[in-house]
Amino acid sequence: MKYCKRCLYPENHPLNLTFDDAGVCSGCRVHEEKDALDWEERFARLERIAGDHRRKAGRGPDCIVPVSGARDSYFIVHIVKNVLKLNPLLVSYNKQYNTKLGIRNLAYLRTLFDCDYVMKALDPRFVKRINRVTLRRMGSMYWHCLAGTTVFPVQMAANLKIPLIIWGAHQGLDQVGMFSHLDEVEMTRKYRKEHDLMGWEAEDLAALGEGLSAGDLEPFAYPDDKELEVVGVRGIYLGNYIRWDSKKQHEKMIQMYGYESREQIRTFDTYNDVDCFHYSGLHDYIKFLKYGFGKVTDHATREIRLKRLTREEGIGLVERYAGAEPSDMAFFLDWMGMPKEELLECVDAHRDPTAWEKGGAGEWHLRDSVTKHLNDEGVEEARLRKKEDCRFVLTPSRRPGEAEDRYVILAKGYVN
Amino acid sequence: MLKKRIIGCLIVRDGIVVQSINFRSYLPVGRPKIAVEYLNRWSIDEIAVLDITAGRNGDGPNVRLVKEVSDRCFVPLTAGGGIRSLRHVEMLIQGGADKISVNTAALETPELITEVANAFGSQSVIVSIDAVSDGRGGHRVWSFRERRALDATPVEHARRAEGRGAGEILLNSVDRDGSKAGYDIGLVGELASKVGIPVIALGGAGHPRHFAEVFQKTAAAAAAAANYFHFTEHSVITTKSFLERDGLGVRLDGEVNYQDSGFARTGRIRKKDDLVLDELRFVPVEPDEL
Repeated sequence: MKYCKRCLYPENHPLNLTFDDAGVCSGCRVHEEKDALDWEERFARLERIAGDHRRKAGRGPDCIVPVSGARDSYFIVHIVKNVLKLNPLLVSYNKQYNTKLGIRNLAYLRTLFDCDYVMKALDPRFVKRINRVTLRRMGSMYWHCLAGTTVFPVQMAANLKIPLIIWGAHQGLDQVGMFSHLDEVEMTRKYRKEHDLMGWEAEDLAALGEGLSAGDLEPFAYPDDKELEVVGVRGIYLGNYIRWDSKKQHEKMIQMYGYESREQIRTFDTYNDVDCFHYSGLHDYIKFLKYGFGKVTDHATREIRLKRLTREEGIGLVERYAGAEPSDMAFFLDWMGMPKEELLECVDAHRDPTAWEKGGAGEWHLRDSVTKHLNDEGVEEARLRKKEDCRFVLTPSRRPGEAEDRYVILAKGYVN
Repeated sequence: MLKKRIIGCLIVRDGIVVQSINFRSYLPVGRPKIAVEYLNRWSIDEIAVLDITAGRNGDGPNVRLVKEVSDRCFVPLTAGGGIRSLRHVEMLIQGGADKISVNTAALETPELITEVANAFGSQSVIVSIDAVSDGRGGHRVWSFRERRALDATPVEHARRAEGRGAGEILLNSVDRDGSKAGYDIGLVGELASKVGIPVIALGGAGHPRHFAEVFQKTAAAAAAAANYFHFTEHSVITTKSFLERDGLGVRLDGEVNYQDSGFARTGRIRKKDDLVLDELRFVPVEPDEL
């Protein structure tokens, strides 16, 4: 396996990766723009877009902001509402695997920022039915989360005739350098289908004839092209206009608004994805079983590029977090009513053969790992100089002692 | 008068569609199959799939790639990359390509142009030329394989190709590649005035006005873009809508045509007036059957 000489990404990254003559990946090269672009000028571009979309007071929302109880939600709403002075409608798709802390963050978010909020929550039994199909077909327990999160804001934009959707960072740009910041890439159905949904739109699942009809899957169906055109729906990414630094942004939100962080199972990052039981647990373990790397590689890569970790420190973190079976697996299996063997059988069918090989006794071996590429030729030449430390804050809980013992969909009483 | 064509180029490297910048750096976009599916959906007139790694190790063109995308392609499909012989051309056309594009072969074995034209007709042979500025206001042909500028000018090379039976010239600018600075109007204008066959301009598109400009100021029959169409929803349709507004004839016959939308200075769709949006709340929209 080929690994980037600067970060920790392997060439089998599911979003794809290219390498240049120095062996440095496209993600690292695009990331260099963060220290080269004139971010004041870039922010002025954002202000012009905001200016075009600001409506007269009392005329309803100017834009839609998709939120969760984590992942830069506070920062995005802070920028949209308090800096750009837009009136956003906050929307979220209930991904079912919510932590109490995530629901609490969400409750405080909409109250502290004084915003209207709409949530789509599906029948849990239906979610289990989808999970059975998507685990089998693509080895994913997260398809419904990704599909719902990426479509519900677009449905709301089309239905309520609110043409602007404001997202945070663009994953493809941030991780693998799919686009330059200068491309000002916008939301497309194409990107969603290919990368968020692993090639499977709602229609494709319905066509399988495995008990999910087009009607069942309507909550995940993208609005028609004509509907998007008539309203003029556009989705923009703040990361193209603001020098994106998720860690710094979360720390600012902890200070300003009391955002709650929490320890996670398979990564050192205590800020992103704290709203979900499984994102940094079983879901990430599945990613590891498929591709040979997990979230800790993404997070360490991000911190290497932001000059807060050396490549060696990053590899140390990968060694610490990557392999172990996560503690939340039993919880999910119990909820699904699925034996562990069945889950693993689904996932095994989707292991990337460039990352894994099967031994004679049926056991799986990683073919390679970044931990074996510590001192590769070219690493020294590609190195970024570390500028600061990488400490993630654990905030005190707003509900000390409260156990995270079940999924919470809606909750009252966290904030009035 | 013939309508102007808008062509989507998919630059494929090691099986993945990439953005190419200055012929030097490449950003990964995704799978060719999905790119073709969406270019079709977005009313593209033609698609050219150019595999820049095919033939690298002496093997032929990427026939598998053409087969994979051709069943989702409902517009003329051009295949390029790694073509060295008539046999290669046959394989690509059998695989679903309507035309082929030759670049290196047109420089090194130009008689292939005539062979292909005789076998399949001139309309099936595109000669692709990469032009690089000579620093003195002129241009030279760039050899992708040798990574250097040759002595020939693009005009000389194009005229010879025309004489050998080429049906079209795909003229790319190395300097404008991935720059978003607009087409090289001087280059395209000169070449298009000196050959009798259609010229397709490529390299530099970054704003819908660049397409308008190349049609207004040169005799180009078509404008192609690669990176630019990856950036926004319905990118081909919005570009064509912009061109229609400028009075340029393009094919825009789908249900979705953005004729009621305006454009911001950036070339992106402008927000509709508040009153229009308010009224839309009470107008049923008929779904487009795709």
